[in-house]
Formats: sequence, C-alpha cells, structure tokens
Amino acid sequence: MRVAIEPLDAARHNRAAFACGQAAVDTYFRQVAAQAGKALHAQTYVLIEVNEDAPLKKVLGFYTLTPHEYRDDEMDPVTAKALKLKNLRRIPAILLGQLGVALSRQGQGLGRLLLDHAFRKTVFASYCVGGALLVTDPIDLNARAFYEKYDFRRLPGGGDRLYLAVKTLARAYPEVVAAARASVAPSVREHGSV
Amino acid sequence: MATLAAKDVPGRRRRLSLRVTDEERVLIERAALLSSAGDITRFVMAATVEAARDALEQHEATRVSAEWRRHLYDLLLNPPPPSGALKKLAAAPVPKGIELVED
Repeated sequence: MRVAIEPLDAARHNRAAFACGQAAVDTYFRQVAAQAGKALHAQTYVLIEVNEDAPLKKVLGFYTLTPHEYRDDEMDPVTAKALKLKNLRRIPAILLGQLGVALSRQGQGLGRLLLDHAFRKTVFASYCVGGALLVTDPIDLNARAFYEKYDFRRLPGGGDRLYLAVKTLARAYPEVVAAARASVAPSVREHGSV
Repeated sequence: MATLAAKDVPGRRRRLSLRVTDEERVLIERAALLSSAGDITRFVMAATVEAARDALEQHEATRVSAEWRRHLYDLLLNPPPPSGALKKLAAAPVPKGIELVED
C-alpha cells in the first residue's frame, strides 16, 4: 500500500466518510478541522492512500497541531532565570489536539506513522518559531498508553494532560533540527541573497 | 479552643463559641431571620462551612498548581533523553508493507 501525508484539503480529502470509533474525534475531523485550518487556528494533516483515479481521497488517519502557551505570572525569579525567560513569563507549546486512525486500518502501525510525522512537524516548527513543549489530552486509557510509550508523561497536579519536552524530541530527530536551522523562505532562495 | 478527637461520635453536635459585637449580632440575627435558614445557628453554619470548604479548596488548588509548576520546570530544565521506543520510531516510522510517498 502506498500512502502519503498531506495538509488537509477539503476539496480533495473525504472527510464525511472518516470514522475512528471516537465520536468526538470524528466530529472534529468532519466538521471543525477544515475551518480551523482555513483560519490558521490549527493545521490538520491527513494520511491517504495514493491512488490516481479517485478525485476524493479516502482518509486513513489524521492529526492536528495547534499553538499553545503557558503563562506564569507567579514564576519565581530563580526558575525564570534558569529558563532564561527573565520578564517573559510564558512558555510556548504545541498542542497535539487530535489524532485518529480509521477503524478499518487500526492495528497496522498507522498511528505510529502519524505520531512520527507530528513529532517532525513539532521539532521543525519549534526550531523556526519557538516551542518548548508538546502536549496532548488523551481521549482514553489506550490513547494514554500509546502516547506514554513514546515519551509523553503526566505531571503531578497536571491532570490527564500529557507533556513531552521538545528538547527530548530534538535528540530523537537531529536531522529535523538541522533542516529547520538550514531552511530559508522560498522567496529568499529564489533571489539568491542567502 | 475546642478540638475534635477521633474517638468522638460522628455527627455529635458540639458547641463553637465566638465573640461578636452588638452590631454584628444584630446584623446576623436580622439576616438569619430573613434568610431561608430561619435561625442563627443554621444561618451561621451554612455560611461558615461553605467558606471553610472554599478556603481549603483554594489552598489545595494552589498547592497542586505549585507542584505542577515545579514538575513542568523540571521537565523543561532537565529534558530526559529519548527512550528506546521513541528512537526506534524516529529511525523507522513506516510500518512493514507500506510505502510512504514523500511530498
């Protein structure tokens, strides 16, 4: 099976037929994801099977990333200094808002494939614009076990939310860090000034 | 100050005495009679128990939030190295039998 991961395109990806077995996730994908992407509130990536003939591609899975931020007005000066935040008492983060694999394709490693893609996007974005944490809210215990296997962890007092330091990811994806460091905006490259 | 011993029978009513000014007493009496509580004891107890619960909840929330913050900073300042599972994922994300077409 040949697959590709692409940014969600409502005109090309079949949203209505997608079902992962979690109503909240399905509803988000069918009704919210495209609008959120259009408004640049979030970006959704879909895993599709590559077949030339179908105009509306079947979606095998998807995930959504969105910017997030922790504000901390009570941060003690010592910690703030250690974090090199000084007066800027905010921690930029990325929220893995949604991730789902179609019911008919579960158990084939596609969730891993999507998570890897999300990790790469997170590292790339974090090294371009900042981002210290990747966080997610697992929908059930299975989802939590899946994320915890790949280094997400709960924090005491942090409820069910799971946290992963981008610096941990960066060590697993050094080539993505290098690509982000080396990347330039296309117009700059075309004009040859770098 | 009265203390509650563990051997006390649960639900047993005990006396809680406190001093108030005449003005405060009149104010509380008037409010109690107008309220749904009907008498001073019930009125004062309803308000006091609720305030006590709020205070404890607030304290607990602050304590939990401080604990969470400490752990969050620890994660940021001392990010753990990637686990074997994460390194394996990064090295070989594409499952067997699947070909990922890169854009």
